[in-house]
Amino acid sequence: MAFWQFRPLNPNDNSGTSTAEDNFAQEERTNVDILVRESIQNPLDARSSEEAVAIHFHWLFSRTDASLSRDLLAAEWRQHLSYAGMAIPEVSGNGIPFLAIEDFGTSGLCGTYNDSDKDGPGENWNAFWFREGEGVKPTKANGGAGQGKLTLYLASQVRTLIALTERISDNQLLVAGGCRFGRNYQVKGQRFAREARWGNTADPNVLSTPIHDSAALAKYEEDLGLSRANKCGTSFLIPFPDPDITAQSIRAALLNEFYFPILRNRLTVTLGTEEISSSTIAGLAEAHPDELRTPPRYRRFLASIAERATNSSATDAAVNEAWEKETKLAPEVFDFEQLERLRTKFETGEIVEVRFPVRITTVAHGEKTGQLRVFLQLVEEAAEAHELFIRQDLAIDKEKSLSRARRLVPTMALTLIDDSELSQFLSAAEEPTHREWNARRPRLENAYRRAPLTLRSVRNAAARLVELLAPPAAKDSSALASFFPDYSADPTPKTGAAKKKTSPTGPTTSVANPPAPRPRKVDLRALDDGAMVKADAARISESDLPIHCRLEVAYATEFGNPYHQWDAADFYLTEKSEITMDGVGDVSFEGNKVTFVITAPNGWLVLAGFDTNRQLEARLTYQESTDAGDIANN
Amino acid sequence: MPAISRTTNPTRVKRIEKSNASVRVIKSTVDNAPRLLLIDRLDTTKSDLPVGTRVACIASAGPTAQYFELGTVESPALKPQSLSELAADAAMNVRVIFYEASGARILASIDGIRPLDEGADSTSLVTIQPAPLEGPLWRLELGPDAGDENPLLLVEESLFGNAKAAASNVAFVAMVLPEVLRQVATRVFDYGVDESDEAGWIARWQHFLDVIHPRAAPSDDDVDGWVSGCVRAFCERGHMAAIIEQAKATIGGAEE
Repeated sequence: MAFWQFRPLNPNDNSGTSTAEDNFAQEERTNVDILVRESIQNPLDARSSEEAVAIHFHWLFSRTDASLSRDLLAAEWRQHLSYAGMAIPEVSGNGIPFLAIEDFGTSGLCGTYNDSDKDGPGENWNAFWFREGEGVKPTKANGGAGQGKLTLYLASQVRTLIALTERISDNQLLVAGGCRFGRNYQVKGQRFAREARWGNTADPNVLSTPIHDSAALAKYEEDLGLSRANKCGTSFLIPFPDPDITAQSIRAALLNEFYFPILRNRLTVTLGTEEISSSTIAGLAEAHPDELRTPPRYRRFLASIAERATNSSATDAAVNEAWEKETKLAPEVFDFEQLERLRTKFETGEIVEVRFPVRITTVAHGEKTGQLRVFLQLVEEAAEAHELFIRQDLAIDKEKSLSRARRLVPTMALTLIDDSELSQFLSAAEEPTHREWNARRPRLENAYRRAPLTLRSVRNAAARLVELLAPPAAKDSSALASFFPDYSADPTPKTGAAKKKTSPTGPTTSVANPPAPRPRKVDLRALDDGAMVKADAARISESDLPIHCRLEVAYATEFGNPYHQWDAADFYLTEKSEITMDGVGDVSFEGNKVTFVITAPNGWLVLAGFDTNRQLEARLTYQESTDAGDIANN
Repeated sequence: MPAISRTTNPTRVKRIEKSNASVRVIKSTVDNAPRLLLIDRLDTTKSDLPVGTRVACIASAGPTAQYFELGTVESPALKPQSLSELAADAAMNVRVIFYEASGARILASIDGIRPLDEGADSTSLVTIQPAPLEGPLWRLELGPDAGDENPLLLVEESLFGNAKAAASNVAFVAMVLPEVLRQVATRVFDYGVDESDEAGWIARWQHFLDVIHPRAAPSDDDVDGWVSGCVRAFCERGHMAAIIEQAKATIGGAEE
């Protein structure tokens, strides 16, 4: 059984709110974005092998009479919540809701749990429960500021967190918890600390240690339907999760914050029953475009890079160390042939990759050399550049450099830092939100010399490469065509205006006069409600008769061939149709066609009765008895 | 066998020549955003259509079609229309119909209009080129009056590495192009009307200005009014009007 421990402050303790919360109070990212980012950073750092880390987000319920619920929602805790100005949300018939964030394939919270004074590498337990702002993680790790765990508390409406951890160091399964009130609070004149602990003792004078009784832990797991099945890692259980934390919002956050590491198969996430992995992420992004900040074109760019990022021989070029000495990238820092190939590939819109060595000066160990990789792709039809910095698995998305390029061309860029030395340096430079670097951070200044210069190199490598590779600007006579169209070049020029000559002229030659048209012996006339076929008596002789005719009609259509689209529901020609004639015989009907024979030089036929609100197409084909001779004359 | 075709016209729909309209399709620079249909020009001055006649446009491509209301014949709303439902892999055909305001009877139509697609074959009256300007961000160069070279708009290369980047920039287009037109219109006015001159850039620009701001040639003391009228007409039409609205929203800032 676990107990809540509330610690009275001694007279010398300070009160007030936590400044760590201010670091996360920002409008640009939602609480869910921050939670997902922070909760995945830790497992990625704590991976126990090179295989993909698996994270599972799911929603669970614990019955109100279950032992976990009883131990967690103890009366004393409810009281202190109330003293601290908070309240427990209503509990539904399903029980107490939990959001579970579980990681597998990681080390768990290792280290001493009996002595909260222990510090150093490997002391993750103390760093998680008893440290703030002092990350024990090696600085090559994604996070390091020691403030990210706060987001787990903030995800709970009662600012409470439980962690169930299976440790790789001793295979122990432990559980402990805590509650972070917004500020220290008073109970009948006595101040209490803002952190309350949930562990093996309620005595505030004794260190709260985790529960490791296997029967109790099995009960807790059973209450929630959890089973770690002896796999190392940690299950963070957040009671009464913020209602804004939904599957949809988590998915959007995953797609935005961890698109590249998932693509590279360094991370797989299960969201309820939905798998988000390297094989499904592109399809998910296509299915939920409104949730994404990254445009589709850039996602395709990242997908192309994800494969080659693991292949060191795919690099197109590497610059020598002299590149850092100047503010512009000189061609001389490249091998000449490599540079020519690079230019050609870039100008034809292919992805290019260049490696840059970066000088790092540590206080403890002197000079080291780190490395970064820049991937670029020219996209001429894009309106603007799109870029990203990724340090190991973390997107440092507030860093932008391409706007500083002197010759800005629409380019997609990725600066990838996989190298451990440079990653350690940049981790020390990162703000607690891990979205931008700051050369003045105390941790950075304490560990490194000439940090601003190193950071400048990292920030500007991509921009300098774009400036070097961007093709010279050329005249464009079509870019403004939608604003200043050349109407004189229009293929159907305005009536009366002369056509603009666009082709060279040759010597003029006289054109032979075309033969005069043969007058028709039969004419077809359109009427308001039909059509009339009339023989021209002045041009017909007895030898021309009989003239076999076929008249086909159909209502005019907006698109396509109206005769093909004729339907019997429109009309169906029969003897009962409105038809009059003279000098015509052998009349027969078939759907929308009528065939007949003109037997007199002044013969005529009228087909009428059609809808006068619609246009009617009429087509007459006829065969004279002298047609063979006509063909010869033609 | 000889064949004759006829079409009845019981409702006396007027057929207006295709040359009285031109239509463009603009590809969006935003990924996945649909193309835009822009009715660049619609001249109904000689069609004798009654006041209040409604105008609509039907764009079709393959098995898909989209219908757009365009207002009235005396003041058609020629703003760009989103072709979100039109197939992009089939040739497009546009029909403009003019119909009675009170009923559904079509009074006139312009059929079979093919859009002038954006691309290499679509020429502009202004050429644009990034260059190092050492100071100003843009400069317009107008060649000799008798020449054939279109006006050249130079833009600072450190700002825009290529012409398309400048042409896609809302703020740049909204703020610079009206002034480009003003400078050109002023030169065209200074050159005067020479109906015998069918070639040269000035003639092409005279034609363009006549289309967007049709009126009698201005007198010498009305040049400012005529030039301003041309600029205003330019800013109120099609793609330019849409860009200006976008600029106002972007630069002016949307309310929270």
